[in-house]
Amino acid sequence: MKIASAASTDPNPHRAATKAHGMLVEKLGGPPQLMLVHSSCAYDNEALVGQLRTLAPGVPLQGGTSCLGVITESGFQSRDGLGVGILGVLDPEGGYGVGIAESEDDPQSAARSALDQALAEADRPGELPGVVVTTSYPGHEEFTIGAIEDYLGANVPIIGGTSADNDMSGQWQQFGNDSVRRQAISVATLFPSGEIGYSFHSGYEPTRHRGRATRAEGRILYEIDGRPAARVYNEWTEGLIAELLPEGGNLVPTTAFTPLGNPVGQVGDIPYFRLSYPVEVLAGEALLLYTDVRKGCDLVLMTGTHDSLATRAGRVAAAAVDAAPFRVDEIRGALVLFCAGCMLAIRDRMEEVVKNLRPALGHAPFLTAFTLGEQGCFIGGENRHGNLMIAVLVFGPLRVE
Amino acid sequence: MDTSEELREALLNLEDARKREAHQRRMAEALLAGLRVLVLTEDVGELFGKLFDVMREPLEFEAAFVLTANGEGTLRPVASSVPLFADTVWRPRAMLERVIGGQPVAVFDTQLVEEWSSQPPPVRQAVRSALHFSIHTAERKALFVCTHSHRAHFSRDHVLLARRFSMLATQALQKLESEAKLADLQERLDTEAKLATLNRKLVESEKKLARARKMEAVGLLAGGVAHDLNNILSGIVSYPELLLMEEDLPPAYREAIETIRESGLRAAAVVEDLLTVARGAASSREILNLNRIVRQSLISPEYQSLMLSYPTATVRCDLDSDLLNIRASEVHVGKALINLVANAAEAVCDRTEGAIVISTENRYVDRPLRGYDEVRVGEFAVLRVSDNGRGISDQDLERIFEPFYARKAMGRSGTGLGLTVVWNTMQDHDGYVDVTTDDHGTTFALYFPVTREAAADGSVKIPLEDYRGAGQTVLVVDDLEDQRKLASVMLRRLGYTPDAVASGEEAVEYVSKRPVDLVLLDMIMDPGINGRQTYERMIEIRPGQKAVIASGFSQTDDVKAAQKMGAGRYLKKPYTLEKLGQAVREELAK
Repeated sequence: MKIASAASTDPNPHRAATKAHGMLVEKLGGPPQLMLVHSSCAYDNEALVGQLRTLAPGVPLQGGTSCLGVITESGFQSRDGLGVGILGVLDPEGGYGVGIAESEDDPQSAARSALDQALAEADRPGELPGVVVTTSYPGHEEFTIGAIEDYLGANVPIIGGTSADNDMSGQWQQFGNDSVRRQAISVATLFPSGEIGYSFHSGYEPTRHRGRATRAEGRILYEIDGRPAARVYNEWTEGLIAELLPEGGNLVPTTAFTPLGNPVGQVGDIPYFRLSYPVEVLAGEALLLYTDVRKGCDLVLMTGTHDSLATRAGRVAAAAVDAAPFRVDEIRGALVLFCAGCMLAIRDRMEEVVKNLRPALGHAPFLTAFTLGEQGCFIGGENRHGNLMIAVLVFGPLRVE
Repeated sequence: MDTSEELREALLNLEDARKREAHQRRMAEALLAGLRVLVLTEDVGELFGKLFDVMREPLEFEAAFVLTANGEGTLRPVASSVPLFADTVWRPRAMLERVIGGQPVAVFDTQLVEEWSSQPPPVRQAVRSALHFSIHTAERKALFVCTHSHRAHFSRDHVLLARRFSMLATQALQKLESEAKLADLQERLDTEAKLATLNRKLVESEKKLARARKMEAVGLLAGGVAHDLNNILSGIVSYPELLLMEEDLPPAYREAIETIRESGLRAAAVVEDLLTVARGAASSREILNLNRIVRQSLISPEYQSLMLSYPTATVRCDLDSDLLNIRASEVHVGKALINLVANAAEAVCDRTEGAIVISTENRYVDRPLRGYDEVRVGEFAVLRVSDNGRGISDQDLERIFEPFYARKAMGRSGTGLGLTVVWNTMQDHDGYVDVTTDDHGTTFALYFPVTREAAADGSVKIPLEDYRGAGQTVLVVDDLEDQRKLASVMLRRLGYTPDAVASGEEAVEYVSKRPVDLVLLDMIMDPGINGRQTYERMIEIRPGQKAVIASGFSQTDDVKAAQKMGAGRYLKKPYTLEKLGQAVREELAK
């Protein structure tokens, strides 16, 4: 198994695709068996993906849009909001396939359809993949995860991200082989010949502010402890969003350092949280989150810092390696899904993020996409969708310990 | 980084590590249990049954079975935890090919997989998910299949455990096979080594046998010739003695007759050497000192003649003054020494300063010396003859003691029996020969067992009166007329009353009619019965019949058998008047 990354910030989608693909093939020494592609929505991605498919016909292609650009081991690949990155996997002994399906009103059926396509392309129908990589669009990630688990079983690791645009205007796109969609679920089923490791961390810590969702529906949190959610949140954050009350407005990236946490598990005595990013104040002082929120669930105000966001990616990557059955110097490559909100909050410190990721990943090739939600597998084995998270998937050799 | 956040992450990671460690330990325990079964269970049927038991919990299967190739491109169960799968046939497609190739495969929906969807309805209904992995060795390929009635039952953890078990089990079985193969190989190597040793010994034995046969052939030839020669020589040795007894014999004749007698005795000694080569039999032995033999040999006519032939060779002696005695035949050992010196002289003949060293020493061998011959433990008087010649090649060294080999291979002069005489002499003396050789020369070492007995100071002439007879009757039994005549003349001269017959049968008839005081019995007579048979029949008629055995051959089993029956001394032909007189007198005195 050999993995390489390549990127381009050429404004022309054809040239960007051609440059990135050329670089990738050169690094790999041959055409890959899988391409994970993330590009900014400022590109004409149909042209970009089309060019890649022309250059690499038949090679499974999966991915979506990434906020402003991508990161590779070479650095932050973004220029004027443009940047495309490819993580190529050369693994003739493995099996790889991609599927994509419009979600419409039935995300579960879409997920199953996408999985069937992917398994068929991998020539492994009915077989449990080593990992499923997903790209979805904001709004139905939990359904997607549930659908995948229903289909494959609860213990298949799912690593993915919610496709993002550059300005939260809804320009996100999902890629699946020849298709570029706006409301689709794209999945890649991976049967690597080697081993994998993964990690999914928030990196935020809980504060003393806690409450319960007393009224919620989908991603709208109306009330906390019987009071308007935005008002309670504003109190917990000591007036962070006071200017937007009561009319409402966009909270990105204002709330990036103070998300809401929902305890989803406990390791020993230590709870771990799925984060919910408050992205908008709605009428009636409700909060729009980028995750579903259920009535009755516990909520905790989480807090993070610029420094913690800048160093967190490296620590999550290190945790993924710790969990993997191979050493850091054996890593072949990695996929990192990094919260776009966090990226925007520490945009000027992206090189610091790269600097932390490189040694944590053994200086192996990697691709980081900036997403509006992250899907990953927690320590306890639970697949979850969260905000302001970092999901890391590392590839390594087969080993018997 | 925020300190509390770092601490929190560290705690989470620690807990995670603890959790993973516990998981790994469970996996390791499961693997160990499985491996233990694999390694310790010899019976295949029992093995898989035990494997099902130990792997059921960690792999969380409801049922399991094991497939092996049946040689027709299909797989069939060889073991199953439930009867459901017993008669199934599996045609490997992509999924099973991967499993055969070593990849564990979890199937979350058997209905989507060709191998499963082609199974009979009861199987399809009972199994919704499955886990497959292989246990491979170089010689055996087995597929382990775990099944469950729930769809998507098997997870990545099961796959990981299966992969590890597959790899470890394969390694363990391959190691066992390798060890078994290694053991087989070692056994084969050992067997081959033993065979090689046996073959080598066989070759050596065959060589020895060939040498023995060659010697035997030479012996038969030499023995026959020697027997005849001895009979001829008897006249040359004995008649001069009779003539020399005439008191009025002219001095000029006396000297000539004595010369004839001495020549006859030397000729008899040569024939005796030939017999030694031929029969490997010991000649008469006496207590001797090798130093004396060396000194005697160095003044012998043979040595003088030899040195004249090799004027560039010099001989130096280095004799151990405290050398222990040996029990030996002086003639034979002297002959062996002369032969070795002749051998050495020829080896140095092309050297401007050919040096030959004759040395003696006492040697106690406390552990066997593995040289040319294996010298066993004991006390030895060692006689060495060394030269600074060109050495002997390995090929020649192997055969130099064979009759006539040395002369052909090495261009030696002489009879071709020189080294054979050396070898046989040492055999007769229960001694050993060692040869060391290289480009700078050769050393022959003769190991003689020592004796603590004192050596005789030399022969003492016994007066005729001491062994003269008193008219007793002696029957001479010999198939050769001249032998009968010679013996009769000598016996008459000694004061006995001889009569003679030409065969054993005649002798038996003779004694059956009239008694005789002593029978002088030849051992080998042709045709008719031999000396032993003759004596055997005689004592049936005349129990206690006194007899002296005379023979041209060395003391044989027949001689010993006759002596055991009561016959007296063995008298080796040619015998002197003195020896005949002593033997007859001694026997009659019993």
